[in-house]
Amino acid sequence: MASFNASVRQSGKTYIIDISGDLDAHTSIELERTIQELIDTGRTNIIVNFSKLNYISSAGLGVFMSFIDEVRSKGGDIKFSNMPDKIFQVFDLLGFPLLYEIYDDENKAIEKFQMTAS
Amino acid sequence: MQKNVRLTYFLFLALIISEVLHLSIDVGLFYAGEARAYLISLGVLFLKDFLGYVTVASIYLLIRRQIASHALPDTVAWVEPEDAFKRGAILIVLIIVFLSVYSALFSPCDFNPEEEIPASAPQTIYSIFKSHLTILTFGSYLLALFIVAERLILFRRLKNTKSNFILMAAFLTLGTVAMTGSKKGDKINVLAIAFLSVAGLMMLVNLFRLSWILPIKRDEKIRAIFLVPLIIGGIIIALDRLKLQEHFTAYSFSISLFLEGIAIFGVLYLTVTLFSLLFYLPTSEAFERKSSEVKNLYAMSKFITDVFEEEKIYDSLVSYARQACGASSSVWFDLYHPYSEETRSAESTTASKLPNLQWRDLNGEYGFFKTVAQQNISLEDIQRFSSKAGFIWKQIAEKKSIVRIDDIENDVRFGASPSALKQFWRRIKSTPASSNGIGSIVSVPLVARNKLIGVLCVSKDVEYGFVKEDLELITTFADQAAVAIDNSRLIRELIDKERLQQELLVAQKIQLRLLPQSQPKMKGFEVDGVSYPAYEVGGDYFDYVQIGENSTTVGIIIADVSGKGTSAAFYMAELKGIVQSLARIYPNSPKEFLCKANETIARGLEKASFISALYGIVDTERGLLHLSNAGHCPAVVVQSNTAHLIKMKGMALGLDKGALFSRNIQEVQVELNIGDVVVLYTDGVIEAVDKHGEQFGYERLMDVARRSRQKSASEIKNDIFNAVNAFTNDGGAVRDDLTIVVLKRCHIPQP
Repeated sequence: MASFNASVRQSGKTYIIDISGDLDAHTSIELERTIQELIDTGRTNIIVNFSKLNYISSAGLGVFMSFIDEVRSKGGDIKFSNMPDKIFQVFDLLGFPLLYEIYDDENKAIEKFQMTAS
Repeated sequence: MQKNVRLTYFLFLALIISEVLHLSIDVGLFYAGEARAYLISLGVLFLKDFLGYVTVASIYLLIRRQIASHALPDTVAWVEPEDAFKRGAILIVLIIVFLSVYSALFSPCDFNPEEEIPASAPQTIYSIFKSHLTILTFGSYLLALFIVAERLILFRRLKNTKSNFILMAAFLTLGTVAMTGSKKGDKINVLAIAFLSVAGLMMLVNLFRLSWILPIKRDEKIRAIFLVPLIIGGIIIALDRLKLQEHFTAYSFSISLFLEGIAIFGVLYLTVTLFSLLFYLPTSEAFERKSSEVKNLYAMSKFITDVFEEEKIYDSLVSYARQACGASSSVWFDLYHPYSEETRSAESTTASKLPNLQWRDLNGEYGFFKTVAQQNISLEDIQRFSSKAGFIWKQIAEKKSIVRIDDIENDVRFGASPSALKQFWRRIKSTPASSNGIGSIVSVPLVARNKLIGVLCVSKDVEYGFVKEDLELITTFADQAAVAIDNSRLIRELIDKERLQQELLVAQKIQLRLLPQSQPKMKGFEVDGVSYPAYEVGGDYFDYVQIGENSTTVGIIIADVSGKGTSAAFYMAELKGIVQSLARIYPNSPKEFLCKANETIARGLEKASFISALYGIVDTERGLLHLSNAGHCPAVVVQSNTAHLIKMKGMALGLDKGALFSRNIQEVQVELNIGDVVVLYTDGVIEAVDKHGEQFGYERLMDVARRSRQKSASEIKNDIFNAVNAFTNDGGAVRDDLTIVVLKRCHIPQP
C-alpha cells in the first residue's frame, strides 16, 4: 500500500500543507479531510507544498478542484509550491497552471498572500 | 380417530351393561336372599365378580383415555401435578358430600353390624344402590388417583421404574383375581396372600419415585402442600367414616381388595409427597433460578446462531437480561458509534439532536452512545440518568471495562460525600424518584474482536441489587450478544461486498461495450486500439467516429476520466454520447469539437472530476491528421525513423466551463506519409513503474514505437503493451488504466 501523509504548518495567516508519498484515489481522502478542516475553521489561505510528493493521480488532482471554488469565494486561495518536475508535468499537461498559481518556492507563495492581504 | 371414538363407546357400553347386570343380580339377591342368605351359589358369586371386573376395567380405561387425551403436549406426566392435586381435592370433597347426602336421604342404607357376615346383611335396598354408587364415584376416584400416581412415578423414569410399577399393579391384580368368587368372611387363600405381599413390597419400591417434585415452581409447591393433606384426609374419611370400605366388600370382596390396595398406596404416596414437598421447599427458589438461568442462556445462545438481524439481537439481549435479573429490573442497550474520519463532523452535529443519545465524546476522540433498545424504563429516564452519570459511558468507551455502582445515592462518583453520617441522612431523605428509580446499576460493554459494540445497562431500584451471579450472567449475555452482533455485521459486509462485486461486473460489461467493437475502414490507414482497466471498472476511453461519406474522414478520440470506479464509468458513457453526436457537427476542426464537448460535459461533471482528451480527425484523401489536445498526454508521431511528441497547450475538459478553455486550446495539422505512425495513449503507459519506482516515461514509449514502425498498427500496439508489461514485471506496477491506440498510414493496394 502506497503511503501518504499530509501535515499542516502555519506561517502568519497562511497555512502550508506538506504532502508526501503517493496521492491517489485512496489516499486523496486524507488530503480532502485536511483541507476541509482548514476551510471549516476559516483558514482559507492555503499553500500545498509538493516537495516530497512522489506520485499524483487524477483523483488527487480532483481534490484541489473540489475545494478551489469554495476557498476563493471565501476570499482565500490554494497555491502550489515546490513541485518536482515529474509532478509539474502532470499539472501542466492538464492545464492546471491556468487555474492555479504555482511557485517554485514556498516563500514566494507566502509573500503573494501577504501582498493581496495588504 | 374413528377407532378411538368407537373404543370409548364400546367401553361405555361394557360399563353400563355389566353394571346393570350386576345391580340386578344384587337387587334380586336382596329380595330372594333375605331368607336364604347362605344358599347363594358359587356360580352367582363368580358372575358377580366377573361383572365387577368388567366394570372396574371399563372405568379404568375410560379415565385413562380421558386423562391421556387431555395431556399437555411434550410431557410424559400427562398432568400438571399442582392441577391434579387441585382437581383431586375438589373431587374428593364432592364425592364425600354426595355420598353423605345419599346416606342422609335414604338412611339407613348401610349394613347390619351385628350380622356375622355383614356384607350379606344390607339394612335396606338403598344399601345395595349405595354400594354401586360408591364403586362408580369413589372407586373411579381411586382409579384416577392410581393413573395420576403412575404418570408421576414414571416422570423422569429410570431403567426399572416402569417395570416396577407394572409389577406392582400386576401382582395387585393377580391377588384380586385369585380371590374371585369369595365373599366377605372367607379366608384369603395362600395364592392371594403371596401375590398381595409381593404387591405390597413393590409399593414400597414405588413410593419414593418423586423426581417430579423438583422442577415444579415454588408457589405451586406451597399450594400443593395444602392440597395434598386434603386428599389424604378425604380418602381416609371416605373409607372409614363413611364406611365405604364395607360397600366395596358388598360389591365384590375381591375388588374391594384391589381398591383398598390402591387406596393404601395412594395415601402412602401422597404422604411421602407431602414430606418431600416440605423438604424441597426451601431450596426450590434457588433451583428455579438456576433452571431459568440455564433456560435463558440456552435460548440466548440458540438465538444468536439463528438471527442475523442486528435490531432483533438488541431487543432479545435486553429482554433476556431482564428475565435473568428479575421483573423489577430495568434494562437498556446503548449502541456505540465510533467517530470515523468521514462522519466526525456530520455525526457530532446531527447526533446531538437525537433523543436517544446518551453520551458523546466532546473531544472527538471516541464516539457516542445511542439507546437502541430498552425495557421497563423510558428514554427520558435514561437521559436524565445519563446526564448525571456520563462517567459510566466514558469509562466504557475508554477502557471497555464493566462499571458497577452499588449505591447511586451515595456514590462518590456522583459527587456524594464519603462521610458516613451524611450518607445516612441522605438515605433517609431520598425517595426513589430522586434518582429515577435507579438504586444500583451494572454496565457491561459488548466487545467483539477488541472493538466496542455497545453497552448493556441493567439497573435495579434498590441499592446493592446485584450479586456476583447476576454479574456473571449479564456478562455472559453481553459476550454472546457481542459475538452475534459481530457475526451479523460480518455477514452483512460480505453480502454487500458480493453485491458490489456483482454490480461492478455488470458495469465492466457495459463499459467494454462502450469501446469500439471493430476498426473503421479507412482508405490507406490502419488503426487499432486496446484498453485495460486497472480495476473492475476503468476511466479510460477511446473511440472512432466515421464522419464523412466513403470513409474519407474519421475521428479518433482517446480520453481519461479522473477518478476510478463506477462514477468514472458513467462519465465515460456520457462522453461517448457527446463524441458520437458532436463529431459529425464539427467535421473539420478538432478544436471546435473539443470546445463544444467541454461546454456540454462541464455542466454534468462534479467539481472534483475532469476528463483529459485528445481528438484527431484523419483526412484519408490528403493524408492529414488534425489534432487538438485537452490536457491529454501528447501524441507520439514516428516519421522516417524519428519519433517525437506533439505537445500542445490545452486544459482538461471540465476544469473550466468556457472562455479559459477556448482561449488555451490549440490545433495542429500533421502531414502523414506512407509508413508514418501515430500513437495515442493514456498516462497509464507513461506512469507505469518498475520495481525501483522508475516510470516507463516518454522516451521508452517513443523508442518502442520507433523500432516497431515497420509493423502493422495492431502489432505496434501489441509491442507497446508488451514493453510496458515487461517493464513493470518483477515488482513494478501499472497504476492506472492503460489504453493504446495506434494509427498508421500504409500503402494503398493498387487496384
